Amino acid sequence: MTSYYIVFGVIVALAAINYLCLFWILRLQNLVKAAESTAKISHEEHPSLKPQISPEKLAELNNKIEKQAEAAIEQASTSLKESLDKSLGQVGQNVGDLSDKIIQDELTKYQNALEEVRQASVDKLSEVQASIDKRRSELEEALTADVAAEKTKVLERFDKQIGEIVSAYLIEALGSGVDLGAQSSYIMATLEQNKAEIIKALENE
Amino acid sequence: MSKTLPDAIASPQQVQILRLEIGRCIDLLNEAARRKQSGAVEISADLKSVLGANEVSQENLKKIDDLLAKTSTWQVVHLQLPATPAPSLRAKLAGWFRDNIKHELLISFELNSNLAGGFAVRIGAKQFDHSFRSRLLQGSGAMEKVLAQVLQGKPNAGK
Repeated sequence: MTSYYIVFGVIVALAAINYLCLFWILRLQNLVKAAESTAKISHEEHPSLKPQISPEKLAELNNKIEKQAEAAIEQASTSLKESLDKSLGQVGQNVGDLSDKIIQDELTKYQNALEEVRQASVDKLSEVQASIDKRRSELEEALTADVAAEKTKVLERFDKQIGEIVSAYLIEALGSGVDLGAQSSYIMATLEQNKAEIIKALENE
Repeated sequence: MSKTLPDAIASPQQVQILRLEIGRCIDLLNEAARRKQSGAVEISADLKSVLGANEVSQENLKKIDDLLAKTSTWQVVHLQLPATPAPSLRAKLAGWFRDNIKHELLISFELNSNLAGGFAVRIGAKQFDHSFRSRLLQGSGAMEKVLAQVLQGKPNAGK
């Protein structure tokens, strides 16, 4: 923005200088005309007065002034053109620099925004990954506990049923060929041990 | 108190058979008396043992029958065994019951091959199971301990 003001100020200054030059030239012309008219008037009003400057001299002066004016105008125009060209070049350069700066700033902002978005995404993904890992750990622990409990249950069931299986096998195996004679001692001894029970049952019947 | 029945006559079925035999013998003796023939009839060993236990002759079979009729009021103990007992074992068991529990008692011997060994006693609705089967089933919990000890490699597992 400062560059714009500077360039604008330079242009305004050059234009003012040119305007002043033109104004000065025009004023000179007006002065000359005024001087001519004054001389003419004075001569007409006071015929006795001789013009100081002869017409030829006056014409020469007019030519000189015109030439000087033209030269001044041309010089002013040239310098105005040069200053304008220079100003335009400067403005172009400044505009280019400014555009580059603006573009660079915007690109920088864009990159920063992208970086922020990228970082936010990375952070979010990290959170999601952490929660997934945590959930996986919880599920693994639960699964391990369930498997262990199921294993314990199966083993308990096996332990319980193996007794029944072995008993059933023994009963089946002993089912035939029972020798009561060999068991008679056991039978008599057991009856003796449970005598009281049998007596009580008979009394209660 | 002297026994009415010898130990060899233990079950209600035997009593019934004896009573039938006594009835037949009485009929035969009466027929022989009617025909004025000799009154001796052939009787079974069981009837002989009953006559001997009560010191009664064949002529007084009616008396024995009356005594046997009274056994219908006796309590019956149902003894389940895994096999058919020999006559000696039956007498031994009947003798134990009558000597230790009650004199006037009948023992019904029942066959139950599921017992695998030992015996079971049923008196009315009450049952005492001392069979190998019940001991094996009750001891299935011990099987778990034995298995656990075996798996742990402990010596004297199961003892």
